[in-house]
Amino acid sequence: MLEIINLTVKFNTQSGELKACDKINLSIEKGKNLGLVGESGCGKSMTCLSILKLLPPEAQITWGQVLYNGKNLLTMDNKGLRRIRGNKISMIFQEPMSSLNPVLTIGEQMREAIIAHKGLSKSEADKEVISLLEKVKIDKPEARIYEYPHNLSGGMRQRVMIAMAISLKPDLLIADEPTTALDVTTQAQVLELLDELQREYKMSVLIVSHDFGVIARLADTIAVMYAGEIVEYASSETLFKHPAHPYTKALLSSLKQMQSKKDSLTVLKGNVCDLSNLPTGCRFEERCSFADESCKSGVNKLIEMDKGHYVRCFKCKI
Amino acid sequence: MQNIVEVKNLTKIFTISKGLFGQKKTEVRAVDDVDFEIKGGSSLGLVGESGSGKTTCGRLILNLIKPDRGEVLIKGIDVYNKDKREIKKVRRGAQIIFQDPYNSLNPRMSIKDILLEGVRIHKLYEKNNEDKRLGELLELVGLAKGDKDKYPHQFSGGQRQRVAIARALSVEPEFIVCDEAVSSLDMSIRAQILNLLKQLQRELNLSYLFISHDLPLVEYFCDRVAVMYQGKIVEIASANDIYSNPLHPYTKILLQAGLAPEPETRKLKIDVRRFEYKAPDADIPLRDYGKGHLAKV
Repeated sequence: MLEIINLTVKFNTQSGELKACDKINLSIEKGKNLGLVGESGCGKSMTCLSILKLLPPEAQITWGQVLYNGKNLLTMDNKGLRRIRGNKISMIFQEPMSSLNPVLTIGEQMREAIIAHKGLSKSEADKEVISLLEKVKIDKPEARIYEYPHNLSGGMRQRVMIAMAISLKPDLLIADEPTTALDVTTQAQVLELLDELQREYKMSVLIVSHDFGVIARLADTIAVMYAGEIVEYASSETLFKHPAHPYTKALLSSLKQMQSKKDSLTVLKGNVCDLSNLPTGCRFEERCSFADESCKSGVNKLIEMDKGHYVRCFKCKI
Repeated sequence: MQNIVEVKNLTKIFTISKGLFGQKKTEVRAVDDVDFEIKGGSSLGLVGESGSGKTTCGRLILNLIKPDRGEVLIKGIDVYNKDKREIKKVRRGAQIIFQDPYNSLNPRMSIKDILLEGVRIHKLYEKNNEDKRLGELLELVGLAKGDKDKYPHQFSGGQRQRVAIARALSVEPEFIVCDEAVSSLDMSIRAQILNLLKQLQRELNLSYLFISHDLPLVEYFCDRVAVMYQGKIVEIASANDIYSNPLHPYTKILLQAGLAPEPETRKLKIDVRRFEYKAPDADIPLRDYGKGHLAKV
């Protein structure tokens, strides 16, 4: 349904040009969830924002295509994009407080999209808003529509965001760290809600997180990103049971060690490589315990190791 | 083992103004009658949701804010002492590492000045020995000696948190409050900092109050765990007991809500209402269930 081909995003900064996303290839099938996991600065959010052309002005998409049902969103004009944004593809962000308008009531801001896309009257739209709020399990929705975002708790705000995002029954919901700002109990509730809605509406969810727990809860397939590249791509089952890339392995093993109360955790030495001055060869080479001289040069391609299991590592060739 | 920290009946009430011109006043008991102690060389984890009073509790213990009631003893010295010299002694022995290394370091001070500020105030070293101490501190947290003239903005998040740890260690404390000290760090750096804190605990016999909302992390790091809900400690026990035999309904909910990084969780059907907890109207006192396992059940 959605296909991202060779997406490359560059940033112009004072210290030069840096590649936030480098030839990202992803595809999302209808009704399936894709998880995007990685550390801060690895390009997860930039990938998401590119899909709807919502990138900040300093960023440029220099190459690639985003195909939605065969149509390239990146070359589409604003009018066409507006018909897709919110309607076919919608998005929820990390911080529900800063993504809601503080001077509009919940009802007013939820109504906006419904009226714009469906052409309903105000009272008809209000009815729909109330049923949507019921759907995301907010009690007394008739009263809530007159309240302002600051009257609601963090979990409730995120639910309002979700209600807003699903109000036009999108095909794809992009959820960028939807639960990072929430408490564990609220997080569990919000993820459960997303799961339920996904099944009911048969939509696809692109879930972005740095937390493997969140990704495991929702995603069918997972892409691991590191320094602007996808380094591993596999079904959820395969990735957790048989991780192949040294980076994925290190992260998962430190989580396992924590569970088994080991005295010291596996540590990745060093830091993420400089995105404006990328090394030739493997980007993870400096921190990798399997690396040797041969990793320092050559084109590091994403290789299909097993059916549907892709890895970007010189040492994983089979 | 001796208790290094003793907290008795600690209470902090915040008054919140509501309504037009702040006429309506409501009271929030951020920390409500909290008791615990921390043994020398051990770690106590403090977990709970945001707003449960964890951070306030950590700040009260270090006398960064004043309580409305209660007492805190660090190595037998009253933290809220009126005697300035006594307070200085406490401050030297007890330090804090904050959550955000981007805001907790003064951007206009070099690493050298940050690390030696406390040393100078407490007159711990002769002027000509300062450099040696600085080198030791940097080495302890795994930073290079040449880093001493740099400023915080020249470091990454993980390195800044190392500076924050070195700063806390500079005055040779015995007790450190880690207030979400690793929450803002990426997974790969988090492991480094946790290893460092554990290693320092072994080498210097440090005690920690480890405040976090991340339960698996606390289980890994701490010997004992206290669960806070609405300002009260609802359960306190050894880390093992809390996770294998939780008694309080709220603790159970917290544990169930945690997400395991396992693909099987995808198929689980969870009833969302399981994660809702309302405290009973009547306050139940903490009861002892043996082996230092206390719960409000």
